[in-house]
Amino acid sequence: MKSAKTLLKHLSKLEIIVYTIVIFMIWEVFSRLFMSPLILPPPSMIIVNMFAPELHPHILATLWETIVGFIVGSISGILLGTIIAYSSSLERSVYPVIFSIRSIPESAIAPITVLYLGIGLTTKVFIVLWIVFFPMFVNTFNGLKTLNPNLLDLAKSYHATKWQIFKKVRMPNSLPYIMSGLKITAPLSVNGAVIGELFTGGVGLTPMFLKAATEIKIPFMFAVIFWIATIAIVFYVIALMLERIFLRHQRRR
Amino acid sequence: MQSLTKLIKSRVGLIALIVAVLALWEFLPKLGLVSSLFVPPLETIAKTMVSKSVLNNLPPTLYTAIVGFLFGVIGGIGVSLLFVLIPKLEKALSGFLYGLNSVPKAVLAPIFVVWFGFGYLPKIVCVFLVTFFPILVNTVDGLRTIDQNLLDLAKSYRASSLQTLIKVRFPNSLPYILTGLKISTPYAILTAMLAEFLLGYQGLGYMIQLGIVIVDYSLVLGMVLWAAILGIGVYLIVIVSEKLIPRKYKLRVE
Repeated sequence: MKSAKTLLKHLSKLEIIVYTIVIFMIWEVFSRLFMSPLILPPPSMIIVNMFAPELHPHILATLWETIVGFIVGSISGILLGTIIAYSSSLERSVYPVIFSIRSIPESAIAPITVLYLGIGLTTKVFIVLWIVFFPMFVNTFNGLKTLNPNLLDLAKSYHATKWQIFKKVRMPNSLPYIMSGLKITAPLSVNGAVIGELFTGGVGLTPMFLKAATEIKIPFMFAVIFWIATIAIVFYVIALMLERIFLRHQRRR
Repeated sequence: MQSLTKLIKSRVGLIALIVAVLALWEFLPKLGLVSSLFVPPLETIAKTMVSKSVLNNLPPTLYTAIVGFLFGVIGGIGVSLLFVLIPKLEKALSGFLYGLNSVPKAVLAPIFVVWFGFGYLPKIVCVFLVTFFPILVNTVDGLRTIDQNLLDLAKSYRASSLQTLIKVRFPNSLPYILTGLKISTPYAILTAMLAEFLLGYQGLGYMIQLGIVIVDYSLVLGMVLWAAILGIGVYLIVIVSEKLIPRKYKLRVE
């Protein structure tokens, strides 16, 4: 029964993949028959362009910005979330401030960041961090705070130290929250790098895209967009895999 | 009134912090402690914000944002109704749509220039896309999460699936649609701004580009503040409409 259910789940995932392939095939035929590649290039041409050697350093640059920003943002979010969850005075003073600035979107913060942090790596990393930090912070904080009081009482009745409670009770309890934060932020983090690159230029997928736009290399522009979507999807899949690895003990229970 | 004073009391630290930051912002550059070139005092920013050349650039951005937003709302609701009527269609398009959604919409502006020419249209399409997705996702959610009893009732009256959609599912999804609206309003203004930054020649985004090129910090900061003010304005309109609409529908449903 259970295996049948998982099989069904896999089938529906497969169905989406098959449909997506069908859509791309329709696109292929449509644009080959009716469209100039200068307006809507067929997917096969875009995929060939995706592997053009002149794109490689730019893909790596964007990936690097995204990964650095993602790691810095998630670690600082988790750390600060933990610290603030443990200090009630900080919770009262810092939490509302963080809560009110988190609604500033990255595209509003980007032009200001360019003014003060320049056009280097720092700006792009900062904007990725801006996207990643807040969900990670809020989720870690909520995960540590929403705890079954019975569990806490049980741990206390065993004379558990604060560190032991953190390690054995609070941390496992907050892990699912942290993982769902990762799932939210992983695909979004590339957007941060792209918005950052929009304002700074230099090496990266977006400056390459804008350069291709001035040269009207449409298939090349589509190739860059495909890369951005691919990176976002791959990051999401990695976050899903991480979730599976970290939560495997919890799921068994 | 009492709740207001309570609110102020609970936020007293935050308000004090905001006032302190604003005061520092105004007086540090005026006293010459930081360069007023890099941190222009609030007065300078305010003067820049109401200068004529800036005010002339507000209507294009607002126009782009509002038209794109309205089309996004109509499109998002329309497509979600289609998705609920024809579930296969949702499955067929979902992979493609999620892929498209993971790309920042403003970046697509140069491609839309190729398709739709210069002028407002490419920017409007960017705003349309950025509004479309949250509304689509939320409306589909709202149309799907529904009391089974209501559906059974509709069935017992022999309602067709279209009738059920219009009379039962759609009113039920209104609060969800409004959530989608609230999510997408600030992005409508900002996407219009980013598209103008890329395509240039008028609007808030163009002024930001200009400010960065001529290193006028007060111009860039003033434009971002304008974007925030416009965003809050449109958001307030949505909040007011939220107060007006669902009451009528909630009565009918409950």
